[in-house]
Amino acid sequence: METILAETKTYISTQLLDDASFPLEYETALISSGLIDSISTLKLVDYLEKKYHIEFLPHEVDKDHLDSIELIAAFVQSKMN
Amino acid sequence: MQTFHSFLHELIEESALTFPNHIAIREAADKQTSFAQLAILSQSIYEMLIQQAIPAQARIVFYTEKSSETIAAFLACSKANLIYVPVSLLNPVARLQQIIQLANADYICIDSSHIALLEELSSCYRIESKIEIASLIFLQINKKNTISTTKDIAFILFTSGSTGLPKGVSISHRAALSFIEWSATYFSLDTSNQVLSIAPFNFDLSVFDIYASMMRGACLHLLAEQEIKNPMLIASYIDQAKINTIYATPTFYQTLVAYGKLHKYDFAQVKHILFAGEVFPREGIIQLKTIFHQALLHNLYGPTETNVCTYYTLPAHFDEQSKDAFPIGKACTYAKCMLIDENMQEITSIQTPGELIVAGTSLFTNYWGNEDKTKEAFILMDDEKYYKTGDIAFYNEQHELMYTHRKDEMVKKNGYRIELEEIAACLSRHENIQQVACVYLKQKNEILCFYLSKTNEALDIISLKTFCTKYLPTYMIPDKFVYLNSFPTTVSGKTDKAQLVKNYEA
Repeated sequence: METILAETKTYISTQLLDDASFPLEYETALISSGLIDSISTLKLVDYLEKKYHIEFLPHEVDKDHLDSIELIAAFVQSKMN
Repeated sequence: MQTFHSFLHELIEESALTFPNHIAIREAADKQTSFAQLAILSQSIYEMLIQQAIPAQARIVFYTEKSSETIAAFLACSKANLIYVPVSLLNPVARLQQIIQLANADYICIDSSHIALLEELSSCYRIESKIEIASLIFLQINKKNTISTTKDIAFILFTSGSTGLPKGVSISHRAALSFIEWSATYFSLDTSNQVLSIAPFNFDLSVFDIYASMMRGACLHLLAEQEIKNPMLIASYIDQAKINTIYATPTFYQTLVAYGKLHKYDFAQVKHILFAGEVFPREGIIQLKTIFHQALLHNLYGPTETNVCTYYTLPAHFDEQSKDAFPIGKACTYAKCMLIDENMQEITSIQTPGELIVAGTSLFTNYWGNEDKTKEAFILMDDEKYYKTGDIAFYNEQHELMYTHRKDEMVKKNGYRIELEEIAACLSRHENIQQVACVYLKQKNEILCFYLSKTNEALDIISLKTFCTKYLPTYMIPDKFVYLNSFPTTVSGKTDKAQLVKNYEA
């Protein structure tokens, strides 16, 4: 779980925000705050699928599962189990 | 050109007689509405509106989900000679309020399920009356009996404006019907068409979805605005619902191709893929052609002010190695296109670029409440009124129009037109922003916002983005914020945007 949290954080700050020093917390709202837009959300899903060999179902690509690093890691973990 | 119909609501009245039991609209949770049901629903909303004795051409702003009820209410407005003003729920409430003010609206229509919004609006406006009908609520917010100077406006579409405020493009029944009747014929729509609605109702692409489908008894599929952003969901929906006709922006299709997991489907049923709003890169078109292998691809062109005015259907086989862009094609039957040079002289020779100007019955009537801007938009040529598109084009050897670039600063991002000044105007209202300038980087498809702060330090990006989401639709929010100590200026003392970009990229 810790690894997923850390790796996801690194991906978001370096690849989506282009700013490694960005003060991103595990609970920071990503989508509802407007921090990442819909295209970045799709890039994120694509990254998670490839990285952790999981597959999102169409209705799972939403705020409920992706709005913070915490939510993302929990969801990825549940998919891997 | 003469249109066969005079008003939009005639389309539902005819289709209710011709195709009463065909499904007009399919939406969430297997909800379906037949043409007869849609006509009855629209009639009941019309009767309610008539009872309110609203003056002709009064504006009703719709801030609702895309639904059969919303469409029925649009038709009711048409019959009651009221103007509807659709505002997508993707717009924040502050922008809704700006539009209400600019349109000088008498009513706001919202979904009755949207309780929080009702409370918010109740605290901003004095609600004179409130009528609930068919899961919609009409709120009367204005009692002025404004005398209208227009006669036949059907709807107003608000787009981004260069003065920092949105701009309302007024479309008459005749203008809308010119395009609707042409497109229904050109794409041979009939009851076998399953049309997927992608564009929000405040985007002119939706005029095709709603009305061309309605005219020919085709079925329109509505998804929630959030679902439209989910390519995997769209892909599986196209497959399951046997969608065969789609009209969207190149960005939409490119996102669908990149993230929709399209390899899972065959899509042999898809017959027509229409796109407009921006240039579609050739590689993207080739990918699309491979995926929708049985479909005809149509490149449509036209700003909101003219709706579609040129069209080009791609040949079934084309040179995949070529790097050339596809033409925007030839003028639609109702439109006249002309290229002019800097001295306002017509260009007829091939390969000579000039500004594209457009005349004909599909032209908009005015920018709502802005006579000066309206006057500036037109030019008289041989006693005929032409709209200056601001787009530069030339004729190729086949005498088809080829688009090259914009003349001014207007930006097209993901098919949306964006005036950078409107973004800057929004951010200049932020309490800690001293000065602001926005630029668009075409290569990266990014909007950059440079700013000086009153606190002399960089501001928190999350708070800046959150601030923007309050006033701007998501597609207008800058991708990057860049804090500066000072702005470079040109000799005339204006912010030097070219230098800003240079410094940034260095």
